Amino acid sequence: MLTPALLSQTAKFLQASDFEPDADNFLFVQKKEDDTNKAMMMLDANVSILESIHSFYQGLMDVNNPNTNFDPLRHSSACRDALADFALQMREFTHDFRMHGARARTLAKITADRKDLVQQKLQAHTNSVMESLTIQSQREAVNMRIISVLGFLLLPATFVSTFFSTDVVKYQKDDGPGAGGDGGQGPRESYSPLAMERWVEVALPMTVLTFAAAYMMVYWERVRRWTRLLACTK
Amino acid sequence: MASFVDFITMFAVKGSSGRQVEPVELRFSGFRERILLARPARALALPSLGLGGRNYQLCYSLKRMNLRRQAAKQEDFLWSARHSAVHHQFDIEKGVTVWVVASARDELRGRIKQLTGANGNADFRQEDRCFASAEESFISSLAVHLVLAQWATEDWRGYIRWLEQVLEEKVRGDQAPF
Repeated sequence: MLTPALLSQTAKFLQASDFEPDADNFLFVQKKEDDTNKAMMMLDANVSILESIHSFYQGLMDVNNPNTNFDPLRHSSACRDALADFALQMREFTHDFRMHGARARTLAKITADRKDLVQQKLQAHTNSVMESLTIQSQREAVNMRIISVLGFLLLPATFVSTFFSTDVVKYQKDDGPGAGGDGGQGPRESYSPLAMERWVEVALPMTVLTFAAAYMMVYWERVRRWTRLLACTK
Repeated sequence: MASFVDFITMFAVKGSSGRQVEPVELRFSGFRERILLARPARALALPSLGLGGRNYQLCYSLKRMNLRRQAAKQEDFLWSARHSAVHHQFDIEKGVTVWVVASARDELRGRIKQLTGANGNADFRQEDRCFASAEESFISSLAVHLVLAQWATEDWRGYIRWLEQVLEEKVRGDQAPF
């Protein structure tokens, strides 16, 4: 009887897609599940204690029991009547505890199942977030590739224009005072060996320094990884 | 009965640091019995107290839940577990009964007084407060066990109902799919 009701309920629950469980929700359910289990334990303990009391008195009043010598009370009819009454009520209380225990057990089972459901919902939610993040980062990667290809294509031209903007080679109208007699012949190319020398003197050490710094960084990273590995194996 | 000490120590569990870690040791429970009814008497005989030395002893503990504080929101209700530790001794010679009941608050003592005390509630059975003979004492002692059992059954229904309600409310969210 319970199973079809539960099934239909869980089905509806699955369809309620706008319900988004959060971590607080989950913690609360977990805590209450613990409480339910604790209640079950306490109820079971009470059942066994009431049963023990009951069987203790039964044994005490048992006329045929040679181990107890509860005379003359065990032959008294008033006592026997009182014990019968007592047994009846004890059975009632025991039954109460059993009933509550069964109810708690059912609740614990349902809670465990629903917790699974909440967990799955949480998982699905996380998955969809991750998926959209991945799509976004893929799109960004394509953009970055286009930019880097463009940069790579323009690299030689960039280098040449940087170099030619230095004073090594100059193109200018020759109408300065040092131009001499053959002026008025249009732009002239002038090469300065001194500028070339300075350029090489600065650019080469800088390049070497850059490479050295890059190598040092790689080396440090390697050393760090090795020490971490060694620490792990110890 | 020495093992009653075990039952008493449930009420204060201290960690290694000396700090009280939980108010009541929930997981402990037990039932002990000791029957010394054989002749000649083997137990302690104190004729001045009416103890003949033939007795039986019982020790047990019962647990229940108690609603400590109601709140506006159902999930903020505060419940606490309550313990009682019971020691009972019945001496068969004159029907002298000894009860040692440990529980938080005084409610159990009040109830037992109502049931068995000379000034107790007149609505209860008269035979439960008669101690003239061993027979009457025995019948009265059974009634005390029943009071204790009755005390332990209370509030369980409310507690489990509350658990069911808050869990249902939490798991289904704002919308009501159930």
